[in-house]
Amino acid sequence: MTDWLLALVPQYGLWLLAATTFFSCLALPFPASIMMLTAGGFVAAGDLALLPTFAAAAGGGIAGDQLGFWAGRKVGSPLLDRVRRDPARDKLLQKAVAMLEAKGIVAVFLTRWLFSPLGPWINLVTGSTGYGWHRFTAAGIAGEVVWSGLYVGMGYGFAGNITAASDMLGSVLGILAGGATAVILGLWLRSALKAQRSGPAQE
Amino acid sequence: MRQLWRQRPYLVSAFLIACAVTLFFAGRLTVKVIYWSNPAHHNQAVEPWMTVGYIARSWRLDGREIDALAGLPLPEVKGHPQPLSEIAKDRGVPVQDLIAEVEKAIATLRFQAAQEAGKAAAP
Repeated sequence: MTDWLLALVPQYGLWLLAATTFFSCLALPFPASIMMLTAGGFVAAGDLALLPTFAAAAGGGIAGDQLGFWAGRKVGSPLLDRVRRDPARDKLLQKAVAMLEAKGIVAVFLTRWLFSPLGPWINLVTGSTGYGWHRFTAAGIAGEVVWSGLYVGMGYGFAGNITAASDMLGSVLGILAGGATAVILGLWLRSALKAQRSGPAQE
Repeated sequence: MRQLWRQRPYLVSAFLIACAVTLFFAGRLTVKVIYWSNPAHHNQAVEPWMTVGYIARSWRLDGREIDALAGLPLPEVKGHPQPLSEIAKDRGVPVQDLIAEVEKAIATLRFQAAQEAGKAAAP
């Protein structure tokens, strides 16, 4: 399917690109990264214009995020209200909401491009837990701009070799994501160690 | 550390897995950088979804010359650049034939370029 989609890029370019990033932000299996890399390659070849291409990729993603967020707000939030009737679950949920309030902006921003497979789910969760729309939108737009900028830019830079671009970008993002996770878990481990030393183990 | 492992097995394993994933991608990046820094690997094989402009960019050649040699329509004909698969469909020929034509044109142009470079280098 990817090759067939790629052949449509020069003709339907921008709409197709926007549709791909839109659907991929709804967790549908659309090859958004390959499409953005290829579109960047077509820009370098002079077949597409740079700014509209970038805007289409980012715009599709931003629109997809909004749909996910509002789906969460309209459908997910009434469901959560039912879950809240159970006091034990309500307590857990409150904990999750508090965590989102504190770290939501970073989570939304990073799940656009660094941990992108989580993006669609974060949209639903933030929507249904009543996370502020303005904050979600601001972090979402910033993240999508980074995402599309990285991929279209790499496609442009590696003009004519999307396999190379995809290899490089995939590895770099893998290092960043793995490294960030390792650092966070490492800090968590350190605080666990400290707690252990300061007194008898509680957990 | 051993005590920590006994108390927080999931946390410690998650940490180790994250480290392993990071190392894996670092290794992969190294391999890919070495592979792609070899000029022989730069040029991307011609595929049906590519336009002549894209192919020209990948092989550092002039797209118009490829068009002329392979007998392909210029991008102005339809108002948008056409991928090889579209040209083949319009003509009713297998796209593989078209790819063969383009590869022949690339080979010819590269040969010419090499000869000219040789002439320029010779005294």
